[in-house]
Amino acid sequence: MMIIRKALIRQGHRIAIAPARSWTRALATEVDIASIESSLSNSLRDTKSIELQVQNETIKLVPQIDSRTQSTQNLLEDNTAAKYTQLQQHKKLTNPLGSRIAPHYQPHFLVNDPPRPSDITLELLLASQAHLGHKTSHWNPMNSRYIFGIRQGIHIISLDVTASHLRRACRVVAGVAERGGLVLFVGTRPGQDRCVVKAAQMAGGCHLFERWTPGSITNGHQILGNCRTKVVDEYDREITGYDEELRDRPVLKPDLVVCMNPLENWVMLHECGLNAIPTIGIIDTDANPTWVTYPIPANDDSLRCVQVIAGVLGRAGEEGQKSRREKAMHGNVTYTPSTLATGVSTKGGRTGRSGEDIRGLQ
Amino acid sequence: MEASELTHDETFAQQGVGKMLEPESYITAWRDYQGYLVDRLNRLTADTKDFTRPTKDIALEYARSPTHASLFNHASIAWNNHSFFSTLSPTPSPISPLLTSKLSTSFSSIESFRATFLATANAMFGPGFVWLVKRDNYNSNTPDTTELAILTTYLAGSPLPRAHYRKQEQDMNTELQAGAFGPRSGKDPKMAPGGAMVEPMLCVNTWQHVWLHDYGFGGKREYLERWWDSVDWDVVERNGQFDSMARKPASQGGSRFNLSAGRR
Repeated sequence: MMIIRKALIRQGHRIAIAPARSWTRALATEVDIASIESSLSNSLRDTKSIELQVQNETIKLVPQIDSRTQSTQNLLEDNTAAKYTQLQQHKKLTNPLGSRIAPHYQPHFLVNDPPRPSDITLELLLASQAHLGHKTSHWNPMNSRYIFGIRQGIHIISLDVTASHLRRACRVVAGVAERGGLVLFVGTRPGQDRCVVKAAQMAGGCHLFERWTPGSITNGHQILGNCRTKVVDEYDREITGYDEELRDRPVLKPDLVVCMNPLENWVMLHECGLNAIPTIGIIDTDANPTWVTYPIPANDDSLRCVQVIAGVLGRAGEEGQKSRREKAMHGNVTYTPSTLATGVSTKGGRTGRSGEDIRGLQ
Repeated sequence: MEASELTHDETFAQQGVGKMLEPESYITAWRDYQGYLVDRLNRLTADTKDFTRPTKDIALEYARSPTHASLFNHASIAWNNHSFFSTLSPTPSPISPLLTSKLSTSFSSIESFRATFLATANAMFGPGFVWLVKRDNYNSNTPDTTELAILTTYLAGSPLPRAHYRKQEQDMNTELQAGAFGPRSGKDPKMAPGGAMVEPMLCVNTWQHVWLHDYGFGGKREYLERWWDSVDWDVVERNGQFDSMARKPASQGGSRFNLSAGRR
């Protein structure tokens, strides 16, 4: 409850001081340097005076006077942080009193603190409605191996099959991330943006939650040609000086694509197939399992189920990244670095392989 | 929700609470009563968002709502009862030097603090709680503005600042003065007692069901004196949060998705 007292110092009504200028029209073709210099100094003087004006008229905080001690409040001593910590401690002491709340579903935890591959249980998948398929008349018979049975007119997906396919997909994502691969997480239905972005952040990859532009892979140089690319070493530090080489390189393609709604993104999955990019996708009972390399038979219509799967795959990517970084610290580079143009760059940048020059081993 | 587990529950159920309560009385006052309160709370909050909310939050939300008076009462009493039992221990620690200095500053001495506290609790007619609270006194002449005080709450009154509307500090049947200059003079009939920023540290439960079985109707004084000897003053000091050093709250261990690994 701080009272901000505004200290406005009026400088009078003059906003600009008219400089004493002499404008001589130069009729000659030669440029008069003296007049340019004088006009430059005049305009600098103008700017400085306006700056002074603005500074003097901005709101300045005047410290409060404490009624008890009649001393002024020291604005450098800000105890907001201490008070906040005290409040948090007070809450920690007093909130658990009274009764014990059993673990229950809290939607934001699925996005902010997703489960790990070790947390995959049939109970979690059942609670997330992963077993609910579509009407029996809408099925794709290729999915019969994933279906447990029929209840109330819909197909029920076998959760043990879901769990095993999901664990396999986790191993794939972790393996790709561990080898320095780029994973693209795609989820274009409303509400899937948050979990897809979080998963991409954890796995160090890319995300897409708007419509896939057809041709982003097959016509990449046209559609994604203006995207910035960078060169990094095995410690993920950016190395500068490769601008010319990067200009000639083809546009980046993902090394793995994880799709939350394959039915809407069939174009993207087809492009991935043409370019030998492996794909992971949530296959509902009406989807085509051959569209993806590693299907995960689950319910793609339940946002909770999608958040669980995206979260788990993101966590797997996070583990892969961590493993890769740890190995790099011990001198074990888990991938074959791209060879860039050898020879001395005209800008004096580094040459040859990325990491070895830095460590001076070459 | 379920009844919480006390740290010394097993010891109390077998040996009683020091010399204060017999084992059967402890089981009545804690296990049976708290279980009953939590069961009532579950019934009142079934199929609502409050079903998974902490008890304290329920009490704070419904303190101002006459239509949810029953919900407030049960939540407040559950919180108060747990606070009471959390400060008891089979091997209570004595008052530490830090706490002694704080109490002596506020109450002139430990003996006078004890006498005042027990006399206040004894004088209350009817069930309730008596609290030791910590608050900031901005008008004090010393540089340290924290002060300890005694607060009474009748029936299911709450000492929490945000539930001040239902503090129930006074016995409404005796303290009300219908006069021209009293607090109930009618000039501001709808004004609620103001809230004060206090932090509850310690409490004694004067509800009859706690002491009636062991002491009889005339044994309230003796119950209070024996309760004093069972108080774990380390817990009280921790509740007071006297240290100003900022500490990070400890991170929660275990996975919240692994339901079989026990409760948070």
